[in-house]
Amino acid sequence: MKQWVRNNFSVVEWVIGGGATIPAVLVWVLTTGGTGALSLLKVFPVFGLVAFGLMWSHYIAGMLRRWSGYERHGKDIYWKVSAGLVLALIILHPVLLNVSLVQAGLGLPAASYFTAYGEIDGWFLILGTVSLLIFLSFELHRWFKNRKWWKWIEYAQVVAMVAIFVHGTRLGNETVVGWYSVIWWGMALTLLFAWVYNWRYDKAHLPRR
Amino acid sequence: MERRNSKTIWIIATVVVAALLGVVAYVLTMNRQTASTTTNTTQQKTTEQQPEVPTADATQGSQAVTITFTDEGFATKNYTVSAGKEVKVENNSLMQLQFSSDDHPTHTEETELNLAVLAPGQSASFTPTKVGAWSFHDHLHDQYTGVLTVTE
Repeated sequence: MKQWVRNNFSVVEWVIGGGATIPAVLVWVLTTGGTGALSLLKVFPVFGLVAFGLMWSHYIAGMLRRWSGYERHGKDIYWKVSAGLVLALIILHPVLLNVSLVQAGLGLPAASYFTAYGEIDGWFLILGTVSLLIFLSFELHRWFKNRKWWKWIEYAQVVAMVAIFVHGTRLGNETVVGWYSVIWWGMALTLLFAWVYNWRYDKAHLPRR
Repeated sequence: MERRNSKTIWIIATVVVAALLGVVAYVLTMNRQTASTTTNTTQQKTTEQQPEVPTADATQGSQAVTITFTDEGFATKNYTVSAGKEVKVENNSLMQLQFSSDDHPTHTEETELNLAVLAPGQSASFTPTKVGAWSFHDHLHDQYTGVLTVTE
């Protein structure tokens, strides 16, 4: 099994990525379908769902890479494509929402979040914004990944994933749809497992930073 | 021995974190579904306030229409009414209802549909004048949606 995964790692990555993103798109279509014309407010949730799915696939693929002993030689196609896509999606997701809120005369964030979503849910949008900033900070790896403090940025990504899961669970219409909520929670639990596995593996195999 | 203890600690830590995550998300989900229900939970609903189906044929068009909101969402997804006829919205759930035009949360698709918050048992009416198919939702529980088609 390990050997098969090692020999077909690229295929495994694409399958995991597809397995995470296809249900996300499907649940969005089913939730949004038949509710009038498409608008930015109806489209923006799918970007968040797909971005979460792709980020999940990175952690799961990372776990399988460690488990199977696959040695990555540079960044492969899946990583390049999905990482670029995630960056675009996590930027587009709030941008489309904010453009809509401005167009509706609700002003700019953070005030517009509270006006539109109420006193409690407004904070869950703020949580999403903070997570976005943490995710964007990862882009600094080009320049700083060899610094001693970089591990804290990586730990912060984990915190941001938890925060974005809470954000999606609270605000997403799709995450409460029966069959998709099973997938959503399944992703959370497997993510948790992958984090623990990856952390333990790196601790045992990588030089202490 | 030390390695085994470390493994046990990790298993326990994982279970605890998973449980915490589960509790947090469960509470969030429950809050979302039952938010604002406590303001008037002692209010008893009469049989008249809790019809199983809309009180008027929602698809006939020319008659006034009643849109009924229950604990499971809107009783019927699609309604049709003639322009100028009254649409009554009844909140027969235990939750507060803020009947609103799409899109969530801006409610700008057709502002004639936007109503103030209705407590459990309350109702309100509006008279649509613009012909078209207008999707609506409960702003406080936006997973509950429907479509009102206004004909000439």
